[in-house]
Amino acid sequence: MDENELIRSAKQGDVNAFNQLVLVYQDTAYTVAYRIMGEYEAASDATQEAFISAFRKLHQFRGDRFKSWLMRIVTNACYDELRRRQRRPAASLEDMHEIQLGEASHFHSQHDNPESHAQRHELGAAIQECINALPDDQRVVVVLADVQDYAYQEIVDITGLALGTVKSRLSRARHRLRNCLRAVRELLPVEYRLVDEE
Amino acid sequence: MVASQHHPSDRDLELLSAYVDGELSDREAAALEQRLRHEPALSAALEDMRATIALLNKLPSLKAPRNFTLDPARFRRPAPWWSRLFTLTNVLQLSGALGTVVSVMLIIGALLLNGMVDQNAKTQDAAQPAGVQAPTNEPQVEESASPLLEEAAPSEMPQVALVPTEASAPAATPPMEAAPQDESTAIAYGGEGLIQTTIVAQSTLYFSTDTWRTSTAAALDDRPTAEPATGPPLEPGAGTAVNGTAEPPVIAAPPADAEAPAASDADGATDGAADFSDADTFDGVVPAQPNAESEAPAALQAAPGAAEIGDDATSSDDGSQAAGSVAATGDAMREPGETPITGSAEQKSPTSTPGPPTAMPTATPVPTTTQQRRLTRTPLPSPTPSPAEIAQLGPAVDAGEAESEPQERTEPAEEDDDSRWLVVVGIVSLCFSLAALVWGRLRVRRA
Repeated sequence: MDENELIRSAKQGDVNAFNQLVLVYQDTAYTVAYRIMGEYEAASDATQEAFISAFRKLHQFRGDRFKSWLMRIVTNACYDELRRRQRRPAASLEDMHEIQLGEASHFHSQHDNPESHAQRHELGAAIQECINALPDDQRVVVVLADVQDYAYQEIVDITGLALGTVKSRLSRARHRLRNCLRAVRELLPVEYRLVDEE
Repeated sequence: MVASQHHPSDRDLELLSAYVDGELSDREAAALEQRLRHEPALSAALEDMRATIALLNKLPSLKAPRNFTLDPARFRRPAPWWSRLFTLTNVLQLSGALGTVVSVMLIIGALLLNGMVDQNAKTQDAAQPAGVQAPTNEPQVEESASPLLEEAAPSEMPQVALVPTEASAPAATPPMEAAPQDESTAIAYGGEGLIQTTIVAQSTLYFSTDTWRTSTAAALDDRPTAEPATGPPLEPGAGTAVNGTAEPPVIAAPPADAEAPAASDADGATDGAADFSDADTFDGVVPAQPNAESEAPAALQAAPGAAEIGDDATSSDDGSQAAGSVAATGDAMREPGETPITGSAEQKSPTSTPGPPTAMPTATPVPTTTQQRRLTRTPLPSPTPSPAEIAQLGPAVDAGEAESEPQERTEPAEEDDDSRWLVVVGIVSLCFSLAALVWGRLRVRRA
């Protein structure tokens, strides 16, 4: 069954058909959720809530790009989770350690050797830490644009923001990431280390 | 990458970001490229931005730590609103609530109905003994007659009889004293006026004029012969002093001032005698001018206890008034379409010879109106009717009462039963409604 048939069946209440769609998009959804949330547990909760909400609101899907529609639900779920976690204390060092360990386990590569694996692990952790340091609104935009490679219009559809807002938030997020990465340049691969002006 | 000492502005960073993503127009892109050739810092910033984007792009996609599929048993497609509304739980709760309200209203209505029925029954019972009835209501005529027939001393004076005279108060007539039968005539005279006069008047239909008193007494005693009137004289207005030996006038309707027994005083009796023969229009009314020489209602055959003449009528004038009032009442009592009784015609058609008074209508002329027929059929007894009289009249009267009373008593009883059934139905429905409501709430809690 193709995606449209699965969607049609799911609209009629076929949970099994919807689960097929879940299996197709759950990795992408979890990635987005993780990049936004920055935590393993938070990302899992947001992803599950997103799929539950998607099934209940499936009757509102009007035949547009299902992936963009699903990512919008994931993003909103992450926003809700972030607001809920803002009332909680700041993440502890233990949570940061968990992030670093989680990064290593979630990376997958066909050509993996210990050195490359370590490098990717450190790189990923460093980048994620810089992403986590961004404000929520900038983080969402940069994850969608640069991590998930969504176009501006798709970001507009997902976030519901104006195009100019998306551009401005994205430019600021990238500049902040640039400055953050400059601080941890020792961790960056040689080819990505910024060269100081002599 | 070469870091620029000149930090680009936010606008420049935005242009660079859009330029990297290809979101600038051709014109904007050309202008930016021109600047990039002349501004090394801007160019460095562009390079830094491209490197940052490259790093972000290299972040690997993550694999879901578990399947986020939904449980089919738990997640069902939301049903349409109308199907969600009409679920068993909602139906139970709604029906239980509505049923409870309706049941309570039904019970309250049944109790109120029962109370109203009781009140009506009490009202009717209270009204019955008074015997106060409309004069134009035909059934009431019979009903009013029954107490008089039954009671030795009728305390309830039937209004149907006649219009009250100035000396009488039928609505508030005190009971007549029971008198020995040999004094019935006296009692009749000492009666309460119009009503008694009426009674007497009715009775006088059956009395002969010259044997008024004796007939009365005889009727009471069930004696065959009539004696000459010895009682107090009848006033002309009060009744008709039967005078003379005229044949009993055939009068269907009672005269207003009934034919009292012949007065001891011939004059008085004469004055009070009803000159039936001379009456042009009887209408059940004693002729206005009693004539001593008139044929008088001597032919009237007294009925037992008929010699009840109010002593209020003490003059011929009064008698005329009474006659007139009686005429008016007779008109009122007459059914529509009926013609007034011409007393003269009937007076002169004796149907029987003077003799022992009998209460039987056979001696009377055939009545021409319903009223007359009724009056003839229901001769009124004396204040102290003898058992024989009661036996004669009782069955008819009792039958009439029996016909009416059970009918009256049945209605309240039937309504009372209906209201009880309603209460029972209301209670049963209330129980079922509460059960449905509780069941619905339990289903909600379980869900």
